[in-house]
Amino acid sequence: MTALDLLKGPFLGVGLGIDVHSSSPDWRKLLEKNKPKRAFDFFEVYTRGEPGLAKQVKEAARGLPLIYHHEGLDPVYPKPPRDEAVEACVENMKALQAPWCVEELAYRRLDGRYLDFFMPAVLTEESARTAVANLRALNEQTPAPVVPENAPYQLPVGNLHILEYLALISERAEVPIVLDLGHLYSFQICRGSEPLTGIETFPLDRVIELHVAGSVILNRDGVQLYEDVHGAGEIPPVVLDMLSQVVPRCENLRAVTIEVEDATTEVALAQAHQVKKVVDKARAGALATGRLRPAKQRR
Amino acid sequence: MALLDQLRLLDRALRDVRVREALRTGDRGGRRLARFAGSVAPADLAVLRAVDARRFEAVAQRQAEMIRDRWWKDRYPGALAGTALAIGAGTREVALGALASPSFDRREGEDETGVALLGFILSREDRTQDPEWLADLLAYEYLVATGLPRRSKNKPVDQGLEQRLLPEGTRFLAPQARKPAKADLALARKLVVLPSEYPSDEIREALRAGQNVPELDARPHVVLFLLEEEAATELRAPALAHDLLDVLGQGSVAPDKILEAFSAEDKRDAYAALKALVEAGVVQGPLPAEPAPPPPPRRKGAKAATTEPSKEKGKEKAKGKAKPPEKPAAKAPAPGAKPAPKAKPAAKANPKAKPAATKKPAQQKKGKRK
Repeated sequence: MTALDLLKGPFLGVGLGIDVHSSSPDWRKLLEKNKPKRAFDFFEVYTRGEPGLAKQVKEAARGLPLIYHHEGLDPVYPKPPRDEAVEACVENMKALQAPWCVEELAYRRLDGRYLDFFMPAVLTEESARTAVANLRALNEQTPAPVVPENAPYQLPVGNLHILEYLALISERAEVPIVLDLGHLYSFQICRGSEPLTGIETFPLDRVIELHVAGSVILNRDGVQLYEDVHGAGEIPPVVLDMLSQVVPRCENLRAVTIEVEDATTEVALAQAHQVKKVVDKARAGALATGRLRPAKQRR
Repeated sequence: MALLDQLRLLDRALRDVRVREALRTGDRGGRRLARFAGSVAPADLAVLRAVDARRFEAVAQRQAEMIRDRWWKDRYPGALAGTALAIGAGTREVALGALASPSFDRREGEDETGVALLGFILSREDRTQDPEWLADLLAYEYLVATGLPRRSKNKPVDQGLEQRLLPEGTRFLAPQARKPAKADLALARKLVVLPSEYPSDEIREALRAGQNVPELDARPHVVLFLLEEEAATELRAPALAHDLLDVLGQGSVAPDKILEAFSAEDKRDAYAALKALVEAGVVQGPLPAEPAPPPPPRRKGAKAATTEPSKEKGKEKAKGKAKPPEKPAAKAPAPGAKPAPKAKPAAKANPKAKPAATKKPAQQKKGKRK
């Protein structure tokens, strides 16, 4: 099975991206609230290191699908991923039995030093080659594929558009893509472009998962800066609009994740409801018109 | 390793306005940049130079604000605001300066040891505009926010920073391991003695509240941090307490000997300071007999010359340059029986002058900061 075979699986639905170390929202409470009526369909779990908590989530989730989100493999850094980061990733994936692992195209370390900020990929050919080599190496070591996600931008460096960069990596590393719509919007703001500029030529059939989250836009002396605040902010209407336009065009989409770290339980559930409504409507319309096909037919 | 060079240059540029400026104005052959970021090939430079300069600046400033707010605002509000006054700018500019300084490269985690910010503040080339109270405030904030909490958790401190930051007379004292004789005076607990001229706690509160710090006269005194397992209590005491504690730090002393080292005109003040230390539980043992008042002066003016502390002398004392009281003649006078100074209208949070030894919590338990 190759990483691209993941695209043949069924649509899991709308899920919540949670940090298991955070009490806001408390993942246990979310699971409790999800019992009478399904507000969300899966968890995307971010564990930071030791797999102990991942095991607890797996046990408590009782069959709820779990995807894993790692941070720290640094696939765009021009050195192979650190052994301890890979080991932690493997352990967590095993503990969750995750079908894939999401990792952002960013780096957190420079010359061994942990950086003060999350740094997105430099958007050049050389950087893309680096990411491809690292992702290929990673995917030989992990129990399920590591799938790259576009990181948020405030200061794009390099000549490529983020969608060109993502497409190059997906093609050359033969991996699906996680497209974070808020992060895409952050890039478009930097370029002064429309939210979905470049989407027409982007291989949306490679998109396995879409991300949305709360954010705030700061204006500093006329320069707009997107800040990714996840559950501490509202999902901007423009991002929900992007979602409604992109969902019907992602024929192999398997998951829509709302990253809700720092939200209260109530806000997380309210965002799940809000996004579910958008996704259900978009998918229903696309299925009715034949634009989307159920997984069985796609296989 | 072109990509790695780009990442290093980007990291440097986000922290240093000189690098951003060199990128913006065009740096022939990268010579100016090489001073800050090592040599970078022209093609790699071009990638960074193509970045929107206004956005570069906005992001760099935003990152400086975030680091200021996450790392330093709670621990060193006075250091930030006081340095901002010195450079005639805002606290963001202080943070930007720290990010660009070599001290920043010595940081641990989120500047756990304080070296990135405080090291920068101390190593600025031009310190001529620094408020007189800034050095005291830096030492005080450092001990409260970093030096004491790290020691209580057995975490290492930055020795080089402490050497530059803490006045020479700073003492880390502990009771003798051997139980002292009941009839002797001895240290009762672990403590830190910080010589100071200005009321740093009040200045800090004023700056934190965004108020002006009024003109203050130097009034040498000591701040005592009484250490418990994971907390400390703070006292302010007259400068003479420093000498008493220095003596007791070396071992227990018979009550009738403790005041011997003090000159006749200091004896009563030294007695008052000792009494306050005993009452505060810093020192244990019986007090000596209260010294008789000194004989009246023979000539007018002579009294003033001996009992009014001169600023210079006081300064020397506060910086810890005066020796322990081995010889009475070497004593620097205490600031009389006056209470330590107050920060007047600026310090609304603590408007009243403190008595010679007043208690207040310096650190909360479990590492929570003041």
